[in-house]
Amino acid sequence: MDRRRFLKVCTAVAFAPFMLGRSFGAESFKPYKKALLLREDGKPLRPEDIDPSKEYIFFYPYRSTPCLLIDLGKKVGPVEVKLKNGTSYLWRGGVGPKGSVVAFSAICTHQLSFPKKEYSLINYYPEGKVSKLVGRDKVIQCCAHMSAFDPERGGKVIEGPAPSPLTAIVLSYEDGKFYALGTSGEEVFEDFFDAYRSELRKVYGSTRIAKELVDSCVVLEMEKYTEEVVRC
Amino acid sequence: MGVSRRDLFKAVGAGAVVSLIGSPTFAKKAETLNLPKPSKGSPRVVIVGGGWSGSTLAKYIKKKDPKVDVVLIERRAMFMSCPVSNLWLVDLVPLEFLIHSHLKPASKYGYHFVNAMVHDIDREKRFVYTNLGKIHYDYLVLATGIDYDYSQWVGTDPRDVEIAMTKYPAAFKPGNEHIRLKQKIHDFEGGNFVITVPPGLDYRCIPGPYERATMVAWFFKKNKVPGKVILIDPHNDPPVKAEGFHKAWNEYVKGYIEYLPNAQIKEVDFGRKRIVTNVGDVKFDDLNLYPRCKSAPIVFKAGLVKKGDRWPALRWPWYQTVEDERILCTGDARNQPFSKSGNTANSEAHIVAEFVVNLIRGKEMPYRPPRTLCYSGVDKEKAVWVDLTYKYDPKKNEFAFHNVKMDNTPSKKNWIAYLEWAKGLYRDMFS
Ligand SMILES: Cc1cc2nc3c(=O)[nH]c(=O)nc-3n(C[C@H](O)[C@H](O)[C@H](O)COP(=O)(O)OP(=O)(O)OC[C@H]3O[C@@H](n4cnc5c(N)ncnc54)[C@H](O)[C@@H]3O)c2cc1C
Ligand code: FES
Repeated sequence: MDRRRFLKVCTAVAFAPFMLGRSFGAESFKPYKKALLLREDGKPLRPEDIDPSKEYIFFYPYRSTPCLLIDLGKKVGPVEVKLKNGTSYLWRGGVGPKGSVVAFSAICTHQLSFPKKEYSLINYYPEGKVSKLVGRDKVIQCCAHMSAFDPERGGKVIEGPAPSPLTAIVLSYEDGKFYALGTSGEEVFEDFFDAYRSELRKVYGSTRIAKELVDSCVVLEMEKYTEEVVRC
Repeated sequence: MGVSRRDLFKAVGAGAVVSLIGSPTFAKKAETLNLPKPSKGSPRVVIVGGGWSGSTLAKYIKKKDPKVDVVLIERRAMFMSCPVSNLWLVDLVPLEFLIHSHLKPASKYGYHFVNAMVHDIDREKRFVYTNLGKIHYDYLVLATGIDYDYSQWVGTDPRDVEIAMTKYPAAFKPGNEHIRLKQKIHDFEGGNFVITVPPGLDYRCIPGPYERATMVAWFFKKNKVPGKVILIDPHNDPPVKAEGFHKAWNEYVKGYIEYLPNAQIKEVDFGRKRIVTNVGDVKFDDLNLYPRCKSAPIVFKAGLVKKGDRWPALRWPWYQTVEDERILCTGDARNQPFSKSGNTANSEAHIVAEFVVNLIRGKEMPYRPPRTLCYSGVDKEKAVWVDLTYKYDPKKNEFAFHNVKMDNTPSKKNWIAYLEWAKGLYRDMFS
């Protein structure tokens, strides 16, 4: 699907709220606020700011829900992704000049581990950083209970107890800038807000603030965001 | 399913199983506990035991089919975790880390939480009897965990068994025993603190006693206690994570732990405070006596264990008992082939929840094995892990370890993962 058609579909969905979050045709898309991705200095993030040998974190669609941003170095997708409920959807794949930039929610679909300031157990293993668990690089892995996901294939589960793929963050690349538009696949945000109510209150002051939708996101290197990147 | 008792006996072969259907001790006048069902015809699954297995099952049966009426019966008022308790014993995590309430998931997912003791089961009429009244079931899951079998080392004299249970508690069941053991560790002023490992592999938490011995030695070292841990082990080496434990004993807690492998306990002499083994007598100043395990008493009382056995006979690869296909045994209440671990009990319960819902609907499902991911602390902020699953061979009706992975290099990263592992599982059961 080309960008123009995709955006048309998004617009159509925006006017059909009863369909939100459902698979329609081959695509699944749940729009949130359109959010510009920014560098730490507040300028728009450009393709050359994303180093394929690193992993990045930003918060979307809510100000407390972390996502991973990855440049896979080559064009990826589209790919058919199977969901827990037996349905499947077409993940659009990467965006950017090479079609290589992807984003996924960093809340593990198994038991909701996510990157914190003190540590991150869910991380991307760039080229050359081989996961001991699955014996390969270019995976996203959660060391809490050893689930591994494939960022080249829409966040599919490669191994481990996770029951469903990572929630994909739908990105667009327009005029040299990256935007987050919404999500694809199954979400775990409601479980996340329920399980971490008191932790989120400590960090954000209230659940209401933690649940605010964002219209821009600062993208940080994971190593800078968290004290301990745990890989296994 | 509509299988009568007679059919069942036919199916398992006459004389194959010699046990009674329940026992004649029902409190006949017990009132039926009034537990409203989602609708009049809702099938009811009663789960006895709100530990790792039962808590997970109750939630996931409801998630998979809200129309099923689920009753979780647990004698304890709150959940206390055995996993990570070895770190709590030596003050490395607070008590709040271990304790959890059943009330949130019960109200969120809509199962009944009944804080009661099941003291009998009428298999014919399908009632469980509790101190609060009787409850009818369509399917019953006994997720009742373990009991201790003192007969091998202590004998059967009730006085000796009482000494073992109260003076030297095993602390491999949550609650009272753990609190007492923590006091004993903190009160210890010197000498030999003996910890025992049960024989075989069917005891709860295979690496548990090794982790405990290591962390208690760490605590003695930190507090300069003039004493040591003596670990009496019938195995020739720790069956799992041996390399990680040896590294700890040779480096981190050297001088504070003595490991006695291949030591078969012949007698525990409480009077003289010594343990007689094939490799010599061991004097103790204090003792953490962890004996052989067996299934929980209610499983025996329900007539599900063959005479002379310690575990119920099950119809593998599923969990229905040979004696009664409407009764399943899960978690540590069942025997091998799976290791008795919280992670196994939890991952197994996800699968059994699906199985039970299919059973009610008269559907079959393909077999999926549980998973065992197990961390152990070996020093302050250092841990190791093993991760594996199981392979079922239907022809031989046997299971084997499968896809075994491990990290025996003690590290802080593993320690962080260990604590997050536990938090994830608590989230799964209680939020
Ligand atoms: C010190 C220690 C460390 C451990 N470390 C780990 C670890 O790191 N990782 C790991 O995976 N596992 C570990 N384990 C093992 C883990 O705790 C057990 O495997 C797990 O608890 C098994 O779950 P379960 O539900 O079968 O049994 P339990 O959790 O024991 O639950 C059984 C429940 O049934 C209730 N019950 C029994 N009979 C009745 C009755 N008649 N009426 C009402 N209620 C009843 C009991 O009160 C109990 O709450 C450890 C265990 C110990 C003791
Ligand atoms: S929370 Fe990620 S594997 Fe369990």
